[in-house]
Order: sequence, then structure tokens, then C-alpha cells
Amino acid sequence: MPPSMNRQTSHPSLKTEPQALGQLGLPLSPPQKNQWPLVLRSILSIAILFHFSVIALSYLSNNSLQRSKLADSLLQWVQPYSIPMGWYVELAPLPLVTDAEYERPVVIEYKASPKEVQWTTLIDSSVADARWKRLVTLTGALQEHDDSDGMSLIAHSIVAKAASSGIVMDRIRFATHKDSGAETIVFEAKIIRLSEDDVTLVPRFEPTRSVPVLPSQPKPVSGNATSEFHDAR
Amino acid sequence: MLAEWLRPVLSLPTSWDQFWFRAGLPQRLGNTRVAIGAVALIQFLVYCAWVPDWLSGHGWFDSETGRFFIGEGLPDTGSDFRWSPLFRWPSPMVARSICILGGIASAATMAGIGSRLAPLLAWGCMMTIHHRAPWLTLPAEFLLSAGLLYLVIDTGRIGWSWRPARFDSEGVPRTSVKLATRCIQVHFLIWLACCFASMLQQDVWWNGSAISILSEQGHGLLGPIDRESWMGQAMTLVMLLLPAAAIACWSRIATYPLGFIAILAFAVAVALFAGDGLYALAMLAMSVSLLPLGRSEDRAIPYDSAILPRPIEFAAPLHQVRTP
Repeated sequence: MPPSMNRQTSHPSLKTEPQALGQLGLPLSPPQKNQWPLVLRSILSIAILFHFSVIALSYLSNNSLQRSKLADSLLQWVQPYSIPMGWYVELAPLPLVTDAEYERPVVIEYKASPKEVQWTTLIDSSVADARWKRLVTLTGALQEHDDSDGMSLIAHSIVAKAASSGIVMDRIRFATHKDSGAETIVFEAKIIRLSEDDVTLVPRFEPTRSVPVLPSQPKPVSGNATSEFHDAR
Repeated sequence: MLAEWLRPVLSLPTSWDQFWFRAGLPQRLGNTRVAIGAVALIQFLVYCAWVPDWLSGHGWFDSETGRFFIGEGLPDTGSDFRWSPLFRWPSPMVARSICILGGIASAATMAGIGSRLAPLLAWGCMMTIHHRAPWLTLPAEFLLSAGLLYLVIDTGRIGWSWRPARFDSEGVPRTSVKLATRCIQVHFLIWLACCFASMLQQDVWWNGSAISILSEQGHGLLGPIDRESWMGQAMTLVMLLLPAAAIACWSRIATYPLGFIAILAFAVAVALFAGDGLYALAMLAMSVSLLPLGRSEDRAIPYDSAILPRPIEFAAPLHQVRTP
């Protein structure tokens, strides 16, 4: 520091060093004042390493349906931390788009009565908002894993909501189009009205079973399919 | 010779300490907080439009379906760790209240009111919705929830005060500021790296059809783009390279502005071709933490450089200096 700066003076145009430093835009307190103790920094360092390892593992693993067993075990081990904090992401749309079948646009259609020939469009995912697109991706993934319970529950939920909006349905279906233009039925069900507020669905390809099915009940087919689906995620 | 080679390794603890725990000025974090708060506010306004309709007891994705899809009752699905009042009280009123509360908390975060409580509350509201229907969560929510949580470490304001801090007291470097800023930066870069890696894994990003597929799905704002068109293929390639360019530019301070430009271009592409404006805004908000701030940035230099070899000792009697 230049010796001239050390001169003591009481002239009003002269300012103390902190004031002058403030005018120059320099911080007014040294960093040592805010330095945390070494023990705290060491603990935080371990926490940081753990935290970002979990995030990287979660993001990378959820991006692949064929992750390693080690990654699977680690992800299960850190579930108590990663899930409540929201780091454990399912179907994370990191790549924006894939060429998977289940990302094709889906049209949700219904018939109001058994006599109707034409299907009426309820939702067309290609023009609907992003939530419908995510729901369609989910239904496509369910379809790939033959999880008809999940599909039926989604359909049941949609039918019930539509009914509360005054839309009466007799049948509902999810349809998609392949590259060739051929229409593919992802899911179709007949709707049976049990009471004023209660409906059940009979999937077209499983006429002996109806939904809703309570998830906690043992389900010989759907239970395995769902486990596989969750495991795959 | 060996000592030369070992120097970077031996200096690792010091570098780590400097990177995470050296006190930092709050201007950068303050800007990031404003950006994240603003986008979170928009997010909660969007929530107001769909959450009561979708996630209430008789919504499009009702409670029973929600429970099924979190794997309730099945082993190893982690459903025990999901918490949401929307399972217990699945009324549209509760859903709407959560959205409004989250919106207010986000606005408070943006304004710097409520200190750490505001981002914590906004994060809690966002998690409540996320845990009710994790399968419906969009990428913007992943980024915003992370940003809000890191702002709980420090918001670029003072302590737990409910009042906005005065400007002069904001100029004080704090370790928690640096820690929060670094967490946001590192999290965002991990997200970008994973985004890039997952894009590389998909054929559609290699064969040039990704943008066309997005447009066919109705995501984009430009209408359908032909798979054979040169524009679709060129844009696919450019969009694939942008996250990598951003990460590469953010590896050096000198190229930080280029990194921001790359992420800006990527965000515009996401908005145009994927039609996800909120994701684009969330990426920009997170990248504010990596944006050079000019003068504010310069203010931190004296502690790092040789201009002032060591901090001034304030314990000594105050000197007086002549002002220019």
C-alpha cells in the first residue's frame, strides 16, 4: 500500500478506507469472516458428492430401460433420499423425442351409444396440451408392457371425468396410426353403468374381467406386469 | 518433474474448497433467484389451469389411478416415500389452494421477500403436485424444483429476514451464496450432459428425423416438417450439438457468454420444435447462474488475483485515503 495512503487527516473530502473501497466497488469485508469451519466444509463436501452422484445416477439410469443391476441396486438404496426430494425421475423426457412406438400421437375416442357407428374424438394428443402427450406416452409404455390394468384405470378415470362434464359414453378406445397409415387400437373397452355415479369398464380383449381393480389386491397377470413396468423404469 | 505432475492432484482439496466454499457475492445468485422465481410463478399459473381438473378425486387422472401408478402396495416402487396431500384430500379446492400458495411463494421468491421460506414453500407445493402424478411431470418442473431447493441454501438476500435487504448489505460475500450458486450450476450442467447423452442414444437424433417426428406429434410451433427436408435434418443436427457446445463453453470462464448463447439457441429450438416454452424458460433461468455479470463479477476479482495479494486487515486502525 502506498505510504501516502497511511497519512492521518481529518479533511472532509477524505474518506475512510472501507468507504473508498465501497466506492470502487470492492467488497467491504474479507472472505475469512464468512469462512465456514473445516469440519462443516468436510461434512458438506461428502454430502455434495453423495447428492450429485445420486442425481447423475438417477438421470442416467432413468434414461435407459436396460440399466445395470448395480445401478438398479444403488437406485433402490437411495430411494428414501431421491424420491421425496424429486430426484428420482420416471420417464424423464431428457432426449425430447425418441423413435419409440409409444410416443406416437393417440386419439381418445368414444361412442355415446351402442348404435353409433362413428367414433367421436374426445382428445387428440397431437393437438392437446403437454399433459395429454405425457399421458399418451404413459399409455403407450403400458401397452408395450401389456399392462391392461393401468390402461383400464386411465380409461376409467377419463370416463368418470367425462361423465361429470355431461359426456355419456358407451365405449372408449385409444387409437394410433403407424407409419403406413394403418390404424392401431391401443385399448378399447365397453362401459357398464353400475349406478348414477359409478361405472366399470370391460376391456375388449379381456371380456371376462372388469375394472376398476384395487391395486393392493393380488393380481396374477397385472401384478407381474406392473412390477415389470416399475422395475423397467 | 514428478512434483509438477502431482501438483494438480495435490491442489485438489484447495481447488474443491475454493470451488464450493469460497465466499461469493450475491448478485449472480440474486439474478438467478429472480429468473427461477419468475418461471416458477408462470409454472404455478399453468398448474392452476390443469391441476384441479386432472389431479382431484374425480379428475382426468384420479386418485385411484394415481395410487396405482406410484406403485402403492408393490415392493421396491418407493411409493412409501411419496407424499402429497392430494392423495388424502383430493378435492379441486385443495388442488387450487396448493397452486395459489405455490404461486404466491414463487412471486415472493422472485421479489426476494420471505427469504429462504419462500423458495422452500414453492418447492414444497411443486413436490406435492409431482408426487401425486410423477408420470405426468414435465422437464421444466425437474429443473425448477431443483433450482427452488438450492435457493433455500441462500437466496442472495440476508438471513431469514422477511424484509428485502438493503443494497449495501447485499455486497457482502457469503459462503452460502457460493454454495447455492454452485449447486444450481452443477445441477444444470448434469441435466444438460444427461440430456445430450440421452439424445445421442436415440436413432432419431442420428438419422436426422427427430425434429420432423416432434413436428408430426404436434409439439412444434412450425407445423409438420418433412422427414426428407434438409431443414429438418439440419436443425436436428444443430439441436443435438447445442447442449454439447454449451457444456464445452462453460468449462472455461472466458467462453461463458458463448455457453449462454448456445443454451439460448437450444431453448429457442426447444420452444419452436418441441413446443415446450416452459422448459425453454426453465433452462434459461437456470443458466442465469452461469451468466457473466460484468462489473459485479469484477468486484470479486481482487480476492482471486494478484491485485491485492491478501485481504485488507480491518482489525488494524482504519486509515483514511484521499478520494479522487
